[in-house]
Amino acid sequence: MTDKKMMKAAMKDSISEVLETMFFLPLDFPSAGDSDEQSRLSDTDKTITAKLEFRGSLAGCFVLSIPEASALSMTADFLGVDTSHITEEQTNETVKEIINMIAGSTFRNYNAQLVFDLGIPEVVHLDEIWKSGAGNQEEILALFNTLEDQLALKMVWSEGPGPSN
Amino acid sequence: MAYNIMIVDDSKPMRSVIKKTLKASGFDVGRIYEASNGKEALRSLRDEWVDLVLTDYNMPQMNGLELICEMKKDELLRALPAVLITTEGSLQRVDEFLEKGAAGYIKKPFTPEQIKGTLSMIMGDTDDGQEDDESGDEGLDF
Repeated sequence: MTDKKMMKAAMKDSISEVLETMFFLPLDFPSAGDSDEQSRLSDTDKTITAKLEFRGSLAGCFVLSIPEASALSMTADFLGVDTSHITEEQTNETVKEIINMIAGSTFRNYNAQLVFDLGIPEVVHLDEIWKSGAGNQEEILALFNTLEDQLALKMVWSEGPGPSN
Repeated sequence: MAYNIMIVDDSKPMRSVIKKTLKASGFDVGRIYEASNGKEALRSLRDEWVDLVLTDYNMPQMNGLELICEMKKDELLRALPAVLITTEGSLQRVDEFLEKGAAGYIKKPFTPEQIKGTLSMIMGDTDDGQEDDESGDEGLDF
C-alpha cells in the first residue's frame, strides 16, 4: 500500500532536485489547501502541460503544468541560449524532459526498490491537471512557485500490475 | 587524451544540455556525435570513431539498454563503453543495466562534477580523482 505522505514528500524533494540542479530555480511550496494559489494557475491563459504515464508497482500518470513565459525562460536557461532563439518545439521538449526527470526522481526518492516503466512524455491540454482520477485512484497535487509564476505537478495512481518485463 | 563521444537521446534539448555539461565538466572531450535513438546510434557507430557512448534509456524505436545489447553482439562495438544517462533509478533496474553491459550510469538530474567523476572512472582518467559520493551514480571498472 502506498504511503501518500511519503509520496508527497518524495515529489516535493524531486521537484526541488530537478529544478534547482538543472535550472537553478529557487522554489516556494505554498501550504496545502490554499484555493487562491490554485486559482492562479487556472486563470493563466497560456501554459505548457505535459503528461507522463507509468506502470509497475504503481500505475498511473504525472501531469506537469508550467506557464508559457516560465517554460520559455527555463528552456533558454537549460540550453544556454537567448529566449528569442527558442522554438516552440524546444520549449515543449524541455517541459517533457522536466516531467521525465521529476517522475524518475520521485520513484527513486520514494523507494529505490520499486521498479517502474516510464512512458514517453506528451504535451496535453491544461485541463489534464484538474481532472480527477477514477474512483480507485489516489492523487496528489503539488503547487509550487518560482519567483515569477506558479507551477503544478499532479500524480494519479493505483496499485499496479508490475513492470512490463 | 580527448575522447570522441556519442550522445544518444530522443530529446534534442537534453542532447544539448549533455553536450554543454560535458564541456563545462572539464572532461577531455574531442568530437561529439548525436543520435536520437538506438537504431540511429548503431548506424553512426559503425561509421565514426567513437570512444564512449552516453545514452538515454527511455527512447522510441530502440531504447538505451537494447542499444547496449546490440553493441555487445557486434564485434567492432563490443568493447566500446556505454553509459546510461537516465531518470530510471530503481536498484533492480540499475543492476540490470550493469549486468547487460553498461559501463556505468548517471542519473538525471546531473551536475558537471557527477559527469566528470563517472566518465573519468570509466575511462581510467583518475588524475583528479573526483568522485561524488552523493551522486548516486555507479560505474564499473572498465
